[in-house]
Amino acid sequence: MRIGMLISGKRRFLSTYSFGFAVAALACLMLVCPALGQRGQDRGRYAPDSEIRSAFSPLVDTVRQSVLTVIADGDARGLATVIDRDGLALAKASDLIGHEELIVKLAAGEEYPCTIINVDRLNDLALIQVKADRPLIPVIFVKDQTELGEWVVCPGPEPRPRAVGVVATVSRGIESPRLVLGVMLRPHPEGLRVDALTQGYGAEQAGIRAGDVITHVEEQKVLAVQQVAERLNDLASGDSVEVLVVRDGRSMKVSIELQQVRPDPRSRSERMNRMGGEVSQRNTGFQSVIQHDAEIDPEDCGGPLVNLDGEVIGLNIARAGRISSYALPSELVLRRIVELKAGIDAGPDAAGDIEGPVQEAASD
Amino acid sequence: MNGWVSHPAVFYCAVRGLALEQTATENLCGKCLVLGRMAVLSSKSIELMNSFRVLSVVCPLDQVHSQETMFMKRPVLTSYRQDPLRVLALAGLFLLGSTLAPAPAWAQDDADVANVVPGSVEQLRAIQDKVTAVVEKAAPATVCVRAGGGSGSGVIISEDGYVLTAGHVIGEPGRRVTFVFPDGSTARGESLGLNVGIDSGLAKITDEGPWPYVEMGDLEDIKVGTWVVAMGHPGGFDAQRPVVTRLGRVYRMRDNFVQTDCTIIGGDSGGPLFDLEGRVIGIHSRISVSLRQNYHVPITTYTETWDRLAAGEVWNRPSARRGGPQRGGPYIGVQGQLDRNGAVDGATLGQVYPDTPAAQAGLQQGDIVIAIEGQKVASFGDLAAIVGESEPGDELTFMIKRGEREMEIELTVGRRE
Repeated sequence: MRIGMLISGKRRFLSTYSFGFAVAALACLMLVCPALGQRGQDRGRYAPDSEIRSAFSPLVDTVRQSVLTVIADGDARGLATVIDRDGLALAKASDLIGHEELIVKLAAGEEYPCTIINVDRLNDLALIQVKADRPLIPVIFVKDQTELGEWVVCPGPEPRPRAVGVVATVSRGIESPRLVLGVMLRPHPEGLRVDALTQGYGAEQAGIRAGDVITHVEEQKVLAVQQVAERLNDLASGDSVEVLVVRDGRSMKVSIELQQVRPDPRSRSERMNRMGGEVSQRNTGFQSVIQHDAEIDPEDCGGPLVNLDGEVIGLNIARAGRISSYALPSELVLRRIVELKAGIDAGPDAAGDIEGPVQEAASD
Repeated sequence: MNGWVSHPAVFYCAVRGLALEQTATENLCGKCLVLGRMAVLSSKSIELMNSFRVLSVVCPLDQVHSQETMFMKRPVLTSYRQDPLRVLALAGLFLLGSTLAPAPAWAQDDADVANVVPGSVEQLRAIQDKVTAVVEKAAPATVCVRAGGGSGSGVIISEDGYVLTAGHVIGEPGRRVTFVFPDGSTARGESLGLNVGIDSGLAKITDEGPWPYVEMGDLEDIKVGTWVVAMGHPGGFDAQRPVVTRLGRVYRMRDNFVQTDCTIIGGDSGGPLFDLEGRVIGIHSRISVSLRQNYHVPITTYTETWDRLAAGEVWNRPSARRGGPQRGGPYIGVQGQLDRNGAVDGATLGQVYPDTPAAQAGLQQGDIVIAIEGQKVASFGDLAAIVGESEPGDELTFMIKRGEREMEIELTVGRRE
């Protein structure tokens, strides 16, 4: 640090000589009070995070050429990872959907427009087409048997990785929270009576009131809560549900948005989870993830996960909380690429190895 | 140049602001490595170093270094213009490096790996090899601890099933505890002692062993910056992801805690912090807002107070603040008199209960305690804290004011029933 202070300022004129003097002077100083230096050494030093990350730079020197910054309506919202020369890339879908203008920025600085061409809703993975006027450099996803405790590197387009960490635990699927309308229902001679509404969910937003009686869901007569759940089984978060409601003797049609149960932000565990930084809006519901402890930001999702051999072993998909980040493993990504390219919308029907998300329409 | 070898690679990296790469470090002795790393660090010096053009750093190939096998596999000898000032400059730099960090050659022993600020992939790999070995060795002994309706973590440190955990995980001695192993199997046991103040706690598996266990370490080689591994069961036991590992470095060390950047969260409490040899050096205790604020109970307190913990003692419970004193703890039998305005300089005794240590010593209602064992008492809270630090059986000298008189009273601390 001293060195930097002494030699900052004049650039060209500062030659070897002055540097030499400065350093020699400092060295003498250090020699005069060796005990000082010695004690400092014994206590150790907490090197800044950036310094640790710099050690990983050589590993990602090639891969980072394939990492793009995605700018949605003017803001950098995430990363994308190039998967073929013609400009196909993968990104985290939920952070990009709903924006009008999507632009990607390359490591070299060029910018190109891009469009989302398909989405794997189950894993929040978007296939995007970059309209580049030159071939892009794709990554190679390597199926890897990750070892617990091995290093993982999260590069952006810059030379220094965005974050580094270790594989925290065995790969596994992350279930979605259940989907709800946001109503408490009770059987009623004509259907299901709305006892109460949960604040901030679809039913309240759609104008449903306590006391309303829901008679039909998706054009089917409902008399038990279980029937509602069944009707919602094939739907995903964000889908609209048509219900027929009787209020004051009059029947009306209402469309309610199905939403995932969100953890109560006031709960102790959720407050703890958010201590230390922002988490991804969507951080649950993946078929399989590599959990690691690299402190990525939500905007670092969509970028590759690299091991110490420089291989791409996954794609970062969520900052999940204080202690964890999630990456989709290469094996899953490769499978999904095939389906996304074939134009199959891998919606909830493709769930397969994960339990169906909807259980109950009622909410607590 | 007799005995002097230059390392252009180091300074090439330094000038470009790059980390030292594998190719460079292979050719370096420990001192040069330190030097190169320093150069990389001082980014402001980079501009200046450009003026060196042929950048080289001198390394005295002295007796010590020449004996190192890894040293100078491919010595790189570069022409070096004779320029006294430049020699001075480089010598200065070298001296600075060696004074600041008289490090031995790299990777000669474990302490180097544990404390290195990595500058190369080789060094990262050395760390990785250690970490993966720690995880493999330590995971089976890292258990989930269920006691009193809560769920925390713990680590087994003996074949017969002693489990280190956090004091707040077990709460009190003699509780029934269930231990969940990473494979989902369970064992029964009980909680033993705890030091509430520092948050250390001990439990024991009572089912028949032998149990997988890890060694307890010490803090002698642990410094700020030392690499450490945290394990535990965040959010409680989850069969789908048995044990969760985090890697980090020591951020701060104090007598009563070790602070690291290994991020921990609820459920991790009581879980182990390991050195890179897989020895327990701390137990997870608490966090604060920043990702650098993860606090662990230092392992030394477990070693130092082992007998008390094993005997099921509870101590250092700040009775005034944390829901009442604990059975078995120190007890004298007095109650404070409310002093709303802080008008009295001392602790006024509102009640002295009969047949208690206080009554036997001759304390009376209305006495104002102004000091205990020479330590000033400004309020009843001070009194409670000092007595709380004591042990049943301790002799304490109370300095009191009774009316206008000051007197000393000897009191033997009793045990709370």
